Amino acid sequence: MSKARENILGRVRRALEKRWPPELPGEPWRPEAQEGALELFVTNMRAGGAEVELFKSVAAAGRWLAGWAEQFSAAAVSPLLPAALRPPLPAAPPEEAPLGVSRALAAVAETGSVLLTSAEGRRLQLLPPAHLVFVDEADVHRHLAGVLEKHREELPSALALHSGPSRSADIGQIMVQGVHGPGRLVVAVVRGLNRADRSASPKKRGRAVRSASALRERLPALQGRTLKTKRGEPFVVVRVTENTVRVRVASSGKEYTVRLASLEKAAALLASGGEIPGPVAYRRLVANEAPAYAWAILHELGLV
Amino acid sequence: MASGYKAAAKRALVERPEVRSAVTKATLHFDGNRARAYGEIDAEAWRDWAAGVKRHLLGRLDRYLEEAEAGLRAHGAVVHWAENAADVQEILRALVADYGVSRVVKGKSMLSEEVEVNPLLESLGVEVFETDLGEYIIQLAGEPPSHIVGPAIHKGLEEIRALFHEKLGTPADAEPTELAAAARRVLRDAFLSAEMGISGANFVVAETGTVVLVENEGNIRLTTSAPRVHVALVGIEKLLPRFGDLEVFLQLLARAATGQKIGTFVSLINGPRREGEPDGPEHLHVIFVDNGRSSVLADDEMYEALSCIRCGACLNACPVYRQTGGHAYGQVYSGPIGVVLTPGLKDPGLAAELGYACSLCTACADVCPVRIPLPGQILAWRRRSVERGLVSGGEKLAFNGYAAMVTRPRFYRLGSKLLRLGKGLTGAPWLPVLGAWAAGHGPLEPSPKSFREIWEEELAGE
Amino acid sequence: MRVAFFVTCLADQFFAEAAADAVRLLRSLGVEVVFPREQTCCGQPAYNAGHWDAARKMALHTQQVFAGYDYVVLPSGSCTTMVRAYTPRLFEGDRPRYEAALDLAGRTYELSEFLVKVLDVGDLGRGLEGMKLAYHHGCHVSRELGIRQEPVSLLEAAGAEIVPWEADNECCGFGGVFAVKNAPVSLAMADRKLDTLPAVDALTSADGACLMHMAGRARTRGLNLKVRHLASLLWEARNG
Repeated sequence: MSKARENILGRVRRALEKRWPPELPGEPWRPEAQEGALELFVTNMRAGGAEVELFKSVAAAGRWLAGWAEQFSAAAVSPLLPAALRPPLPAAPPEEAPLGVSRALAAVAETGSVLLTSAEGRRLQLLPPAHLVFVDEADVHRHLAGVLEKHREELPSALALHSGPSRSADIGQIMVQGVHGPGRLVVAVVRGLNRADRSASPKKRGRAVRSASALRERLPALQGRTLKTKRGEPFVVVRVTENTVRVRVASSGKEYTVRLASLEKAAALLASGGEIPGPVAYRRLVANEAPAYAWAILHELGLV
Repeated sequence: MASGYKAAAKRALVERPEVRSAVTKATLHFDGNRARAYGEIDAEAWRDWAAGVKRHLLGRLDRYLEEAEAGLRAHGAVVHWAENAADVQEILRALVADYGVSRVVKGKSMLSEEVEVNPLLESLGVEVFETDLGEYIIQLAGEPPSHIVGPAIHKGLEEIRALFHEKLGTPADAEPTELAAAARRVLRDAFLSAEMGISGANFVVAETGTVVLVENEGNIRLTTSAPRVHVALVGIEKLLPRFGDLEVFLQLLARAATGQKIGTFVSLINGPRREGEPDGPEHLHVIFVDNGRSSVLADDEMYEALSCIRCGACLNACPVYRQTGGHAYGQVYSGPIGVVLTPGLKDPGLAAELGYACSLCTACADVCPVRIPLPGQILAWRRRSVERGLVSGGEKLAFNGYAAMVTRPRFYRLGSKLLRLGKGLTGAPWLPVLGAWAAGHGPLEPSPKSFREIWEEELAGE
Repeated sequence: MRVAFFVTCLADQFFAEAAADAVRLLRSLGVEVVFPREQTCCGQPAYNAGHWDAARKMALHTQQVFAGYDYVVLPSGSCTTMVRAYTPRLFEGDRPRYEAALDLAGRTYELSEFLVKVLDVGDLGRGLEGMKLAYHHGCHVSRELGIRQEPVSLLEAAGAEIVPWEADNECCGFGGVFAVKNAPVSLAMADRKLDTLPAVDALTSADGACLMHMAGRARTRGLNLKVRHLASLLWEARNG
């Protein structure tokens, strides 16, 4: 099919030969509302058909959750949520659970949307008929531009903006809710949620690496070693260079590269009191390249 | 080659008047919402900006395609290129065989209609489920889509009730919520058992290699998340240069299409599932499809139509579309954008008839979010049809004859007198143009005296 | 002030009295009106049908006839649009004729627009007191030229009530050759206008072709619809 590629690109180039393309426009006009971002967010989410609850603390949200969750028999819960915000319900897979609970990365006030990540699993965001989403008040941006800019660098396999319950007017122009996705969306905005992540579950902390050079010194010793990821998957540290660590997965033979800069960033985060309990958090907090293996390396070094 | 619009339109009006009511209701509703939504923002500023981004993109399309391909591959997606429907079908055939696919779920994609995906899959013995509710309805009815955004707007509630009763066994008087619930049950099962999900793409961001999909039901999120393999069909013009461009395009698309602030579910897909993610497709295949787009790109008068973001606003504003719905056009794309794109993508000869599915009212130009100069382009197709000799000899004679007459004022004045002498003739059905007019309007009645005569007799002296 | 009156071939033949009313109205406002006798057609039907060679001939003839007049006034929105917005396109690539087309465009006005913008007339008199009217906004004059408020304000200042009409700015379906090439759709569009029309004394518009189209359809449907050209109503406003 590379012939098709050359043919298509060739035709496109010839088509554009004599045309002078205009410059790419800069910043677009942006609406400015009088209300605060949080107020605007609540207004727009409700207008889109979602329910919104506001909490001044994780503890308050947790208390509310305990009562609210009683209407459900089970839940599929995001691994990104701290213990305090996991509903006291039996766990069920997304295919069966009446409730899915998510942790949003951010929210957008002007469109009334929450930003969800595939890092927590996509099915729990889509299959249960009711969807509860937690987001930190500090992550509510006024403009969509802010959210796009902030999350442009670290993209999981799928980010999604959810702005209301599933809807369709395809049946004779009559609006129906809950056609495929959740028919009920509840968004809980919690002040201080991000702090709760960091002090979530106490973990035995190994010797903190105090400087980047210490990390550099200890990495070469890993070369040739076979390590295991958090899930128990074996991999070999093939080569340690000045800036990278190259690993090979034992079962598939696939190779991945972890940048030293990312490991240093993780070490710095840990040294300042941060928590990286697993590859998912590594991806969210550090970098989205080969997180399972990067985390395993940090674990081997006693940092996590 | 005739597209059959004239005959199909007439048939639609005579045999299925309920289509006109259903389509009028739906389009007025959408257009009203769009007008309100445009009124809430500086629509002129955003439309100028979006048009600027798309014109820039089209002017450097080769570079952005290469950048998009590199970004997609860095995420672990496989990128294919297809010049036409046959290429797409060959790629799909191989994927179906490689992955052992027996069932496919599909998100709404007009491009998939262009390249005839469903017939191919069915010929391979693959079971296909359209998951967008409107598309599912017309799939049950065995019809093609009639509108870009609401494929089943030509069907009223009663018709859908009867269809579901027949095909799914729902009660004959089922409420819309029951009908939707029945569809949800069938399609839920399909999502969870299909090996492959096929979608289109609203945008592909070149900078980051992101496939962007917009919807209100959630079926596209499920189509692109549940099955093991996700295939995205992307027209080569559907790119955006920068991730940040999504800010305006996501909001403008929603406002133009349905009057919403943003589509209820927006997917920003960056490759197949990553290590450590609990679910998601193992494989992502993106197929860049040309299918006539590079020809349109080379056409100085028409290339701007490739800016189209498939919002449907022009269909909703078009008073001609409103009378018949989309099927009368007999093409994948209907309404004003269909009239402009179809001859360019397929065959210029189609413009002879399609070019007249338009009264040149210019309502479409008022609403297009990316400022495609549709009325001028439709007119250009008419001009080309004349230049190519695709109009009847009679028509050419009539216009050239009229031009000859009016550039010789004495002959014009003579014609004016004859019009009054032959007054009875103006109703004669056998006269080509006058007869057609008289059939619908009654005979032409010229004023007893022409203005010229009144001027001579009464007004000139003053 | 001296104005050259461009009657337009349609008004010449089918709305002659209304065109005469336009002249009477302008004169009553102190304007000298001349009628260049060699005028015929602006070329719009040919332009819209893609017969641009024929259209150019007619546009050039019109250019020559109206050369040298400071103001050219037409009792037709769509023909004004042809002269102002479309004729220059016919001559893209032909610099001198393009310039001439732009020049004529700069001197050409639709009747109500001329009254409001050039003569600065807001109030013609109360001759339409108590009249209920539906106003049809012709596509070209409202969308291409932006003339929406002028005719309405003049009618209302004369005492008429412009009754709200949901479809007032939707295309009536005439579209020139379209009415003949796709008659069923064209008539369905007229039906949309007629079916939503409120109860009024008359339907009016700055475009005679639209009025002819809707009146003709109303007649074949057996509807009792009175149409009056804007020019006649404005003269009645002044003249009682």
